Amino acid sequence: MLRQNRMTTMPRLITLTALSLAFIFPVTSHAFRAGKVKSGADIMHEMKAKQAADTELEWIKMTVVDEQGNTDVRELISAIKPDADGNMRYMIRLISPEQVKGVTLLTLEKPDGENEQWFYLPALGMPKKITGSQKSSYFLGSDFTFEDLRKEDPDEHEYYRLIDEEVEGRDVYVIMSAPAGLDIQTASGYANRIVYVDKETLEIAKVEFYEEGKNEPAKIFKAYDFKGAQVDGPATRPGRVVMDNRNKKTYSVMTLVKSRLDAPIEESYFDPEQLKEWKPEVDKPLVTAFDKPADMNAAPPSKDS
Amino acid sequence: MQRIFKFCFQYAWFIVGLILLLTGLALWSATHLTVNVSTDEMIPRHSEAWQTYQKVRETFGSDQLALVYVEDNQLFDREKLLRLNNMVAELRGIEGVERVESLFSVSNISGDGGWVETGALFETIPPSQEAIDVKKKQALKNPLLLRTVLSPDGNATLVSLYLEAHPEDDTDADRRIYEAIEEKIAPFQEDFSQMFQVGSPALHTWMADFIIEDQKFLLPVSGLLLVLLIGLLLGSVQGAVIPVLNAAISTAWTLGLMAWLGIPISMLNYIVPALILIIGSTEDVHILVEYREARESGLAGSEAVHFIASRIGLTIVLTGFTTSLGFAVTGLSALGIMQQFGASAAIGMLTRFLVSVLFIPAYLRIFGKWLSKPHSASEERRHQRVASWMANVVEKVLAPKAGRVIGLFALVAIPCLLLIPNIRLSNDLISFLHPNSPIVAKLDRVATNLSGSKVIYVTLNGQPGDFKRVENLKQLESITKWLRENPQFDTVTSLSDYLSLVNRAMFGDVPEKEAVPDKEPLIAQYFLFFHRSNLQPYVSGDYSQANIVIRCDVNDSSKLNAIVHELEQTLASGRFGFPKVAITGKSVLVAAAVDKIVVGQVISLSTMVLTLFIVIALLFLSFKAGAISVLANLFPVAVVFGIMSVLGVPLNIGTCMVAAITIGIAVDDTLHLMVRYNKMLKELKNELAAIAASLKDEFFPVVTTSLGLAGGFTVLGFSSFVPVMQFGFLSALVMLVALITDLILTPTLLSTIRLITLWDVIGFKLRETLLKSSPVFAGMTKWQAKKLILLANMQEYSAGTPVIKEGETGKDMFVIIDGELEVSKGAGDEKFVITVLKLGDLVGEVALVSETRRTADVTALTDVKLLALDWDSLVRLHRSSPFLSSRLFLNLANILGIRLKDSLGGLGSRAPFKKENG
Repeated sequence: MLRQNRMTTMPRLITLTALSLAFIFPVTSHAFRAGKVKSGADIMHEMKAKQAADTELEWIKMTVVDEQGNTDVRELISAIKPDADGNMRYMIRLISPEQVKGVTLLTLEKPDGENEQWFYLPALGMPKKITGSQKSSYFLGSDFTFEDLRKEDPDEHEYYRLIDEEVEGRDVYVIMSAPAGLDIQTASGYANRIVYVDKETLEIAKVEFYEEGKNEPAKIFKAYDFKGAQVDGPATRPGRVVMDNRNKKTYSVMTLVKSRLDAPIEESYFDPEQLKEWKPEVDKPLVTAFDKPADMNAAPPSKDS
Repeated sequence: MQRIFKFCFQYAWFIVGLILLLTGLALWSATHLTVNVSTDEMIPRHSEAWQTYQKVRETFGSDQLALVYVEDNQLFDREKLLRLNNMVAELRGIEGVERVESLFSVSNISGDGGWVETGALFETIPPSQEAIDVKKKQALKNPLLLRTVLSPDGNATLVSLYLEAHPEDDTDADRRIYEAIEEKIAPFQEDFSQMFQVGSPALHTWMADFIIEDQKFLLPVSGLLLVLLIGLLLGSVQGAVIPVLNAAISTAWTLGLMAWLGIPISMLNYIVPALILIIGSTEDVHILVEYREARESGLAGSEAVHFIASRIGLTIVLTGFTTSLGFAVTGLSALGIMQQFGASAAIGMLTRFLVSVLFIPAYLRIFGKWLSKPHSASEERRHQRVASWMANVVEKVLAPKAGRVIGLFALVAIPCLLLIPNIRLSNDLISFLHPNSPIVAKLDRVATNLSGSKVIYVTLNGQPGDFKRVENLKQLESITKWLRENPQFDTVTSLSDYLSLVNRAMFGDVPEKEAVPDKEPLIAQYFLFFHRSNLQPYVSGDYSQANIVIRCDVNDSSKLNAIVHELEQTLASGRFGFPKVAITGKSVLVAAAVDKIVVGQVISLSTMVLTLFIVIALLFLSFKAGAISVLANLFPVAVVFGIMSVLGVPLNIGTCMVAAITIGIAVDDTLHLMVRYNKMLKELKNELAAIAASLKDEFFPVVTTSLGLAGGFTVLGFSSFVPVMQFGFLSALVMLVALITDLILTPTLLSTIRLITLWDVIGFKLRETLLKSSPVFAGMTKWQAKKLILLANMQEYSAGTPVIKEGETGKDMFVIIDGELEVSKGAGDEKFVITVLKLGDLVGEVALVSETRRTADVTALTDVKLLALDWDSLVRLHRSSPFLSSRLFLNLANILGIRLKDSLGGLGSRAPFKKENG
């Protein structure tokens, strides 16, 4: 039950980005089932089960590359832990560059489905409670929007398994997600999405986002390097994910510096009251939990590998 | 020329076949012609300003917009918004669109429940109308949306498509985008009360369509008008058809050559076919008039063609050259559009000249016999009467009072010249449209309800990271506010607006908080709310440059230049702390190019004048002749400039062509008159009589061609393009003024000089012994001696003819150029031969200084050529050739001195006319 909730709630950056884009396709009554052929929903269930973990602590380097090749690099730590009742709690904190250190987004899932969100800018000194929806905003100025990472309502979509293909030498399942009605399509900004899942590892390989009337995707999400990622825990995570924004001609890369699954995380990190007490020292236990420092001077990553 | 005419006449069918073949080839080549009406052609390339613009555009994105205007009283109705959103999604997919600004993309920075919403106003359309109304209220308060995307009343919105730069040779890009937009918006037309496309691709496509529409009107009408005018004046249908046929052939050749050379059809050179038709017809008229004269003189066939070539061959070559030059020099401009026009029009005029000299003789061979006799005898007499009257007025009234005539013309020209500085300058695409055109109405509607289509970039340059710093951002904010105070600007947007609005949103949407924050870390943290692409138009990737984007509706180049100049001055003064500021944008560059129009005007006019002066001076071996031809043709130009100033007609890409082109055309008539005058002088010896006779001969063709040209240019006055319209009307006017000048000022000025041509001197056979034997030519080169002889009167007598009769009074001195004279005295029936004078000898020298009775008979022993000099001719020679005449005077003084000495020494001698050699 706990794991089920985890996979259908707020983004968890690299993992969540990869997984939510795949796991958003729940089982529906319309899913195609015939003989031994797996439906799209079957594939998603299998994938969710394989990627599950109790807590998650990740050090991520996010690089935003614009049309001219200018880059903005930010490092952040993502912590995910359920409360005593099994409601998931997410904390995203920027740890570099210096001027944005301490910027925090805290999301507390509530049993009624209404999430409580807090946003903290150290330069203002006071945490702010967010009561509206921010799904249309860019996530930390990157090419990922909250909408890209949001929980998807299964009633709004229909799923179709398409002919299997090959992506970069890997055999993949191909699943198409289409909005159930015109209003949803218009509101969504995407007419449909096509998800590519590695047949062998059940890891997500690629997601294409299509707009109405377009034959070319507006955005392409790719996940790489599952094997090379430094992950302490029972599941795999992609070492790097790329969101290629074809409309804006920009792309963003999230590189997983290290992931610790099922590791202990202090409760105070999920307490909104503690946000106003933030100092750089507060993050020390988090940072020291990882033994590998981030390399801020590395060349900007390519969107194609 | 005579050989060419003869060849084409003899091998008429071959020539016709060749012309048909070439025309076919040219037409095939012409199918590859492209149309280019881009504003890029109105900007000088490779300039520093162009490079700066390219860099700014590379950093901050395109300033070229395609705009879709949507208006509806119920615009914020949910259903309509859904439709609008669908339409914008369609538009976003058009190839060549860099980014789209709309209600669905422009940042609507607002405080939303503690969070700062920086997404678009409508990332999604809210399900309830109430929520939509809340958004609408937010939008109407948002400076990033107001007038950029949304009208102040909320009933109109603008979808701005920022376009990628397309390769220069992709001349179809504008039409492609325009048509793609039209196709995408068509299904949504019914959803809104008003929707239309404006902006750069639309404007360029409409312009290109106008060009085609103009062609449909201008060519047939100017052709018809010419046929009517020339047909009426020549009294011959065939005579009127020939110029049209010639024009058709040379137009095909020109278009073919343009395609071959890669010259596209532009907003200016599209009138070249009409110009070929109008201007080229003048030469044809001259040729046909000569042919008619030849036929009336009883000449036919090759003799008639030979007659034409000998009479006006030189003039045709000269006028072909000057007209082509007149057009070619308009291309001496930094603007691509002017270069293309200059090149294509010069090609047009050259091909027209070629077709005239090749085709007409061949045509006359085949169809000449059917060329009807032009006028009835009575009509001819009427023409002659008018011409004679005019010639008489010049001979009797004007030429004798040349000073007064020149003064009168100067009285008109000087005020016109003084008015030149008041002429407005313009280089604006929108101002090229008729003010009452539906396009202007659309643009006005957009500009009134939202903002103008002109984009100005004010770029502040600093070091990397400068525009993350508080002090620089504060200064940027001050500049933005200062710019916003300017009522000329519809919208002003900068990075400081984004930060101010986030700050306001962060503090609960309190208006007082709408300012750049004071703390640098807070600024850095605010930047996290934006995707890089949102800020791309306003700040460079390394934060070293900030860009302020201004939109305005200033369509007057001078006004826009003044605004830009003021901005540059204020910003460079250091008032806001950024000395390195670039103000650029395509609109700015186009407006700034008015200076290039003025420079181009000066260069083309001075090149034309200088070349004309040199050619005429060389051809007629006289600086005075050069000066006369230039002055006579500058007068109409001065008048036109005066009229432009008084009527407020601006100097633009159209009107700046008038001066050089009209000189090139008007000088044709001047040349015809000068060449004719030169011939008449040889015949009639007297300047006044010669000019009167020349004017009488040239009156009819000069009037015909001038009226034909004026009529043809008037047709251009009905063009859809204001510069072409102004060019047409002004050129028509200048043709009429040039006609008056050619009938009054030019002959009056010409009558003050004697003309010989270079060919006269070259062709004149002067015997070497004459130079050595005659004291008159002592110290002169052969060239000088020839020139002297040709400038003075040369008289010819056949053997046995008396040259001087004893007892008569005379004032001429004669020098024997060829032949022999016998000097004799009669005593009753007896004749006493005193002496025989030979080559170089002179006779009658006393009469030169004092009119006196001749003391002996002088008779031509053989056919003789005599150089006749009298006091008046010496005075005239002194005026026209001071250097040459000074040499002559020295020689004459020497001769007279020796003669005096001899006379004194030989008093009582019986041989008063002693043969003298030195």
